[in-house]
Amino acid sequence: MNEPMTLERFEHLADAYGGVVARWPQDERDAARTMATKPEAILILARASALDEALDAWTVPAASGALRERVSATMPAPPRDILRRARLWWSGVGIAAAVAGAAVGVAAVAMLPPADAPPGLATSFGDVGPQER
Amino acid sequence: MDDRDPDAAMIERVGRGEPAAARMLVAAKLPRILGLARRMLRDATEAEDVAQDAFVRVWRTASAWEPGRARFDTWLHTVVLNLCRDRLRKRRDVTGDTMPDTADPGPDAETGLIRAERSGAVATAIAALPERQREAILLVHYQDLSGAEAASALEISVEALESLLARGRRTLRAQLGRSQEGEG
Repeated sequence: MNEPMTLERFEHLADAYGGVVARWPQDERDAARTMATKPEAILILARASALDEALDAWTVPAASGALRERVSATMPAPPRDILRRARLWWSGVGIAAAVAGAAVGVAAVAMLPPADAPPGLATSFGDVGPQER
Repeated sequence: MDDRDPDAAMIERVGRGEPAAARMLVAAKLPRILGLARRMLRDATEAEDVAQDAFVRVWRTASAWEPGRARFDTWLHTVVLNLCRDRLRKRRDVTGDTMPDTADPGPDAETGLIRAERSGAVATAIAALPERQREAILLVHYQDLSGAEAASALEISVEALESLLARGRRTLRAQLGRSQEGEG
């Protein structure tokens, strides 16, 4: 349940967290938004926002690409079992591809009749027409 | 607040030694932690060293990471804070001061003199705050951590964090108001 917020608490939160209610403690935001419509609260928020804006003037340069590289270079090498698993995985992929290729080849041979077979009755393993006695 | 850690799956993959996950983690987190280190130390080279050290700790920790114990992002901020505090302590021992003589120049050349002056004024005002107030403001305003996350990173209660933030912001308002009057 949300208790109504006192103006004193509202001012304390603005003094601490600044003029953006979304940055205040989550469980107090709804009550704060209700309070924020009152003229005294509007003044409090405006004063806090002015300080926020002044503080935002202090910017610092972003991380350079060279630093990112330097930091990334400190990463330890992946453990051997990860590399081994990766190699196993890729060799598994290779074996699976070879088996699949062989299966497709066998199926193709089974389905394609010899060139000289009568149409509709022959497979690559022979004629499936009526047998002679 | 949603209790699920949005980074949990990525950390698990990093812990298994997946290079692609590690590269994604660097891309996602390096800008954030470098920003914090730059603002804590105001020295570009030292900040980059801290970012690198923080990632070395990430690689060491990832395989033993226990999801649900702490949010990874909060833990990472704690690591960066501690690395920065160590450097500030050493700096204080050597020079008696925590801030270098020359501030991190930032994007001054590109953004013009007035903006650079404002940026410098804010940086100086925040540097002059007591340590805990400074850290609270960096975590909540610049790193966009929630109150609960920032409190956890600083190992204090949310109420204590709010008190640090409110006092710090009051001082900054007065300080920056004075410097703007000085400009006018």
